[in-house]
Amino acid sequence: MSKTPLRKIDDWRWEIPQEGGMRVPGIIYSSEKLLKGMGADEGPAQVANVAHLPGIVNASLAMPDMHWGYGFPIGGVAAFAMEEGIVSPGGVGYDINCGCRLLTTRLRREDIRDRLGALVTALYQHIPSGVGSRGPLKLSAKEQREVLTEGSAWAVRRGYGAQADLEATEDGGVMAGADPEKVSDRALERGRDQLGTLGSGNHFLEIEVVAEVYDENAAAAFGLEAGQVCVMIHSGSRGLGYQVCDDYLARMVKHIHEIGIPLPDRQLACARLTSERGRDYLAAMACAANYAWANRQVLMHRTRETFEKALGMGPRELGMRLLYDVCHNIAKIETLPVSGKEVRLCVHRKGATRAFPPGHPALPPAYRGAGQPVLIPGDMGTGSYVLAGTEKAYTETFGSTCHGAGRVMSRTQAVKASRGRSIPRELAERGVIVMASGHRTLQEEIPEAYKDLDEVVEVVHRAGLSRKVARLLSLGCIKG
Amino acid sequence: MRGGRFLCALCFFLLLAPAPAGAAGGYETDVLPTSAGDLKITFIGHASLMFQIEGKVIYNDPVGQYGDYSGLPKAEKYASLLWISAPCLRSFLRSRFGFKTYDFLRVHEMMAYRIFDHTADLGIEVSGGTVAEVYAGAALALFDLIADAAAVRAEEERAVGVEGEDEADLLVNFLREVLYAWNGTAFLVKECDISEVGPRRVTAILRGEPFDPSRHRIKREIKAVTYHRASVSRSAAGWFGRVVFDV
Repeated sequence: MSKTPLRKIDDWRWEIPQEGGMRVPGIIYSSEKLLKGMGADEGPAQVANVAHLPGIVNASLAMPDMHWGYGFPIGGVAAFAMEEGIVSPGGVGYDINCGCRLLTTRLRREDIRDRLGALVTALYQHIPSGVGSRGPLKLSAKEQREVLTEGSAWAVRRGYGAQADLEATEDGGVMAGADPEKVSDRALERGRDQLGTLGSGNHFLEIEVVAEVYDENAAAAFGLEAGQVCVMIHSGSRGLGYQVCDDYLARMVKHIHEIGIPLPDRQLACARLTSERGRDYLAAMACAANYAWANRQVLMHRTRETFEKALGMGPRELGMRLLYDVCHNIAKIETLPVSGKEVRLCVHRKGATRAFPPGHPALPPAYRGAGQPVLIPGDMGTGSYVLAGTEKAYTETFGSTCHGAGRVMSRTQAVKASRGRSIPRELAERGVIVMASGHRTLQEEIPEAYKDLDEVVEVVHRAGLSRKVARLLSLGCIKG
Repeated sequence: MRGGRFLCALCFFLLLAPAPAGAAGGYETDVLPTSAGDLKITFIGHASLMFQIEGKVIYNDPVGQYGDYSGLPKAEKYASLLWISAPCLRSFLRSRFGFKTYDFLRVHEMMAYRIFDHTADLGIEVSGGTVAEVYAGAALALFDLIADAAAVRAEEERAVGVEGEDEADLLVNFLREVLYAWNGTAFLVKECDISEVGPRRVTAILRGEPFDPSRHRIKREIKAVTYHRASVSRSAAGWFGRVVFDV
């Protein structure tokens, strides 16, 4: 494959000039250092591929954590016009509404210093994780339909959390237009007993401490202060979401010629937003998104229970509260400015996070002054960032920013690099307790397999796509 | 050779020759100490390898188009083994050379299929004498990535059938169906018998058993089979398939 040409626009942006069948140019947010580290990665070629799709608006975008995905790059953002545009299951990803939620507590780091090991063990025991993990919740067909249409609200209604949690969730924890009839029996079957499970791979639940605050005002609005103990949960829609993506991708591949342009990769298969297949996918995807929100809501409830039990504290003393919940694998119909006019668009964020600006009506009142909280999980053992959305992201990147560190090493390379090492011991030396069901997961997820999180966040901060609010460091982590 | 069925059919051509002194010109060689002396494995290209042990040279070249053998020791005797599977190759090496200490898993990975690096994902390349062998080999490779295949028994049968636009689409659709046996019904596959192959259709019998946590070790989660750069191609030497899994 020929090398995709990159033209530097400024310190943080590179353009892939529009040529051939590209309908718009590509724009990659990055830094010299991150671009150099990308090496043979074919992410830029994928950014250019996405620019070929019908109805794409402004540019095919990529965030600094971009890496080679299947079809669409991971870290990619693309918005499509409602009339002539498309929706693509591959532009959302298999783990529909994979996302993060950050819980704050009234605990200080010193409060749990002696009990951290017991706490991590208790979390590991009470929160199902690992390959194909199943939970104690078995949904009846009727209950599952409710989960798929109501999202987080179903969980709250069933006692897993409080009404305030819904307000602190992107879109209130429910996506409109969900139709369980559009979800296959296979997907339903896979989702029946996985609600409230973490899963495997890069999913995790982490106890963190606020190490540094960059923006006092925003941190205060978000309820964050230095030394405070928090919990970050990273999970998605589990097998149900994977199956929805798989089902619709296959359906769209079957009718790939209907788009009217030759696609360089079947994984880019898509359907017009106005077509029946396109509408069906959006209805099924919304179901998976709602399942994921209910999943993270149940996971949060289990976390709270485990903390209370392990620390012998009441809910008041613990004060565990949902700061925010964001999704980073999704396609959403949003109204956004294009050349100064507000337009309804279908925004694909595949490994990218919504970052709405201060004053946006979608934000909870308490956060309207600061902007939307953006949660950026790091790789295992390095902690996370809390950022805030900006006006610039709103006008330049369809209200989007990065989603994490992004891999630089393949899993095979990572396993090779960790041969002869004890990853838990290395992390313990850095003061992080890690428990994982799979030995291999720890090897595949070693910190050096990921891009430098600080550098990724620095780029979005400097480029103005979001503002740094606080840096959190890991204390303990459970993985699948 | 033990084992009975060798359904994952890969054509291994084993060429036996007295080993001359000296290293293979320009190729990388790994030396592994075994109870029968040093085993030298030289990577020739793609899945092709040269083994040297006890004064013997064994060439393994399932594809026949990647290696340049001009600078390598010449073979005098030649044997062709069809229908050989990795466990079978393992037992062959064990019986001939008394291997005890070598990590045979690596032999398996290098021979039956090759894992290739993809930053976010995991891919496999499978070759075979017929397109059916590629489908069957890919199904077994998929399950070898998921679980420790040695502990799985072929006790129950499942029939699968898929349709597709071309061979690559068929390969992806077939593997999606095979993966569902695990992801959707917790069934681990040990053997795959292709019953029917057409330009638009593949049917097969999968043999294996339901997952038993007390006996089966699960290695990793495979979320999905992707279309990303999936391909099936044919050359004079046989068929070759490639597919990427989302993990």
